[in-house]
Amino acid sequence: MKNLLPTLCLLLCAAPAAAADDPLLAELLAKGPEALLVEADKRISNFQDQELTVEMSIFSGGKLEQKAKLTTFTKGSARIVRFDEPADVRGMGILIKARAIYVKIPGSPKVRRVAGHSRKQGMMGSDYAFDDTSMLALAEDYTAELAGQTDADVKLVLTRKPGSEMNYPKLEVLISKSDLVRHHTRFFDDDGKELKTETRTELRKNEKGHYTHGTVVMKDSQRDHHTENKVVAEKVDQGLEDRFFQQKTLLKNL
Amino acid sequence: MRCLTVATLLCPTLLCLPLAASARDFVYRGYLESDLRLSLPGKPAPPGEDEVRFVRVDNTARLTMRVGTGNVQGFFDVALIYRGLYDDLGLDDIETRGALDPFDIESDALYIQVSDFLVRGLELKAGRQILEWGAADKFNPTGVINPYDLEDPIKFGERVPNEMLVLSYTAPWHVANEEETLTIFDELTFTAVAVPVFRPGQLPASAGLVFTDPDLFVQFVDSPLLGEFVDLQKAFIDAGGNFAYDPTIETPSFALENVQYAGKVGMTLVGVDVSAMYYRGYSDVLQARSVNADLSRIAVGIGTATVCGPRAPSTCDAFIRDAGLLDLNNLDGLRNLLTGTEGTTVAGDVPVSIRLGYPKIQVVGFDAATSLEFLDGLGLWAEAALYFHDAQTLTLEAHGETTEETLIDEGSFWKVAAGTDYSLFSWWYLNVQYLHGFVDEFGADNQDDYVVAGSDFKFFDNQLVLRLFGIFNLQDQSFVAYPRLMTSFWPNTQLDLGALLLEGKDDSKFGTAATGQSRVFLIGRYSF
Repeated sequence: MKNLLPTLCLLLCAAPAAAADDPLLAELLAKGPEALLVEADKRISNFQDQELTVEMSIFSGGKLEQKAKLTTFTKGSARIVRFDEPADVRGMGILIKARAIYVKIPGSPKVRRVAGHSRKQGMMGSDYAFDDTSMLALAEDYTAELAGQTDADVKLVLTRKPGSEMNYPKLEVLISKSDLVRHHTRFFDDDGKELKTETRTELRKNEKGHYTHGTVVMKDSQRDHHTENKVVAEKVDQGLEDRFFQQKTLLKNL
Repeated sequence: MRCLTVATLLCPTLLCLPLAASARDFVYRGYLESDLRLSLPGKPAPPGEDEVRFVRVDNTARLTMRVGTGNVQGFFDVALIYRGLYDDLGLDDIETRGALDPFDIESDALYIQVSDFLVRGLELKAGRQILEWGAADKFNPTGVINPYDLEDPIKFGERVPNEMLVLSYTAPWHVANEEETLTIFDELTFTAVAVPVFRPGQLPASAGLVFTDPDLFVQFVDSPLLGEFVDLQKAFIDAGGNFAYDPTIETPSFALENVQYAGKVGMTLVGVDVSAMYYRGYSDVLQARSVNADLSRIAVGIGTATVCGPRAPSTCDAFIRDAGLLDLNNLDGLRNLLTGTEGTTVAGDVPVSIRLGYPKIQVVGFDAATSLEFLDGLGLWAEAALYFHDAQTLTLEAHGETTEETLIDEGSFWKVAAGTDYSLFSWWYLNVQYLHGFVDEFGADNQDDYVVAGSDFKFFDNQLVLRLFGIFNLQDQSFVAYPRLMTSFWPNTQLDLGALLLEGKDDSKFGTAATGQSRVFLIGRYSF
């Protein structure tokens, strides 16, 4: 009798089959890393408009410090962030449009233009700076170089283009070969020091081919501090008008 | 079958169409707040008050909500404020809760907003509201629609709400560069405002000292005639009498002609937010209109002899007139009557009615705000307004005699605010602003210059913020220092400890007793 043990072992013990590469991967790699980056951008931003509600948890030393809930409306480069929780910031609204930032503070009847320096400031003590929320599409601001591949991912090194106003001169991103979606990013400063890392998990795809990660964690590389964003709700292509992204919309907040 | 046909014909009409289901919006926010303040030694306390005492023991519950459907939204704000401090109590007062447990109800908003009103892009807001104009921080020369609420000295820039109609239209045009990193033209907005009834601003409690302390009164009313009148009062006081001031406020009537109007056009142009405005209405800075003294109730004696008085053969007003001393242009005669002879005494008070009013003004102004990206995003703003006014005159009256003095000639004056802000680090924010003309200054010769500066130092992910803020008067070197430590370590809870320090010479802007004493405060707020 043939010894079936090795065959059985092979069947039972073999590693699960790797997810198949996206059909476009080879073609994009042939075109170059920037083509891959453009496609990766497109996969998470292929909507006319988006309404995204997230619960944000800020941890310091592993301990939960603050929780917040915010809703972001996006159309093109315009965006409105509305804070729903906690109660002391409920109604706070931020409008970002063509790099201009406007803020309405709860209880104030006025919208104030906030200057660009505020982009350095973290949002509500989180590990996200203002500009981080607009880093959906990187290809406009960064050139890409292929830095390696594994079975699962393609690694690109991104260098900020001259004239770009992005905060980070260098990024390293991992793009999943099966989805062509960016799921890990390392942010570096001018001296090449790693500032923070972002990890995205729980990938979902809607019927229109738009990808979202259910959980995004931004970790500060200099200290034991991280921010976790969980998507509570997402709506795309609701037909948000351009005029929604005006200062008047902020004034409708309390 | 016939009925079915009729029904089919009728159903397409509006009566039969189901109403579109509209989700109702309801958003609210609120807070409970406790505010405890203690005066500090240094500046004089009001007469009869302890130098160190509680000056505020307030507890506030505030609720703000927005409710509506689609294009129509209602905004409502209400605050219940229990004032822990009460006035002198009589026996009747302690038999009911009202006097021994006083409270106020305030509302900063109660209006309806209709978007796409008649025309797409046109918005109507009708009701009680605060409309703040101007790019500057807290001190806005073009912010003339709502008067200032100066009741709480640590709440700079607060306004008193007013009933008004606001129509605004924003054009749908938007032009940006190809990269969408610079707005070339956007948000062209036209705003028209009508305020049916003028509402005065609110003054702090310390403002009342101006009418009980003659030296303070003269500080605020620049009038040589009044200066002499105050010297006369001092002579009266030295002789044993007193002036009892009775200020009354004359507000514009509710007539149609007193409706206030304003208009503004604003836009973003090549990355700069700019706007221009016009206002026709009233200033919220009180001006003295007349001073009327009644000398008939006093008695003047020399030694044991009564010269004049209610029980004497001649009342003092008649005596003074008959003696040719009732010359309001020259009060030396009256002063000599009291001081010229040793042993002269005065008994009784001189009731002095002071009438104050609000000057008519027209204001044109402009403002601009931008971010200088080539300077690492430095913030920059400027705001200026030119106020046109009639002549402001003061009439001094006593027993049919009058004299008039022009305090401020007809003309105009500028108010300016310009500033910059920057984040040196993510935890260090700096804001500096120059002001020409403070909120309570009226007239070209009365506009002082100020530097307003503040800095925020943020720690523990913004859970601890140290704010240092100050205002410095360049003319008299008086200043306000406002340190504040803000903590938010507990969910929805903020606990602040701070001080408001007012320093300067007795006759200076912030050193005068009229601005109140320096104080420390502890404020706790829970938001929901």
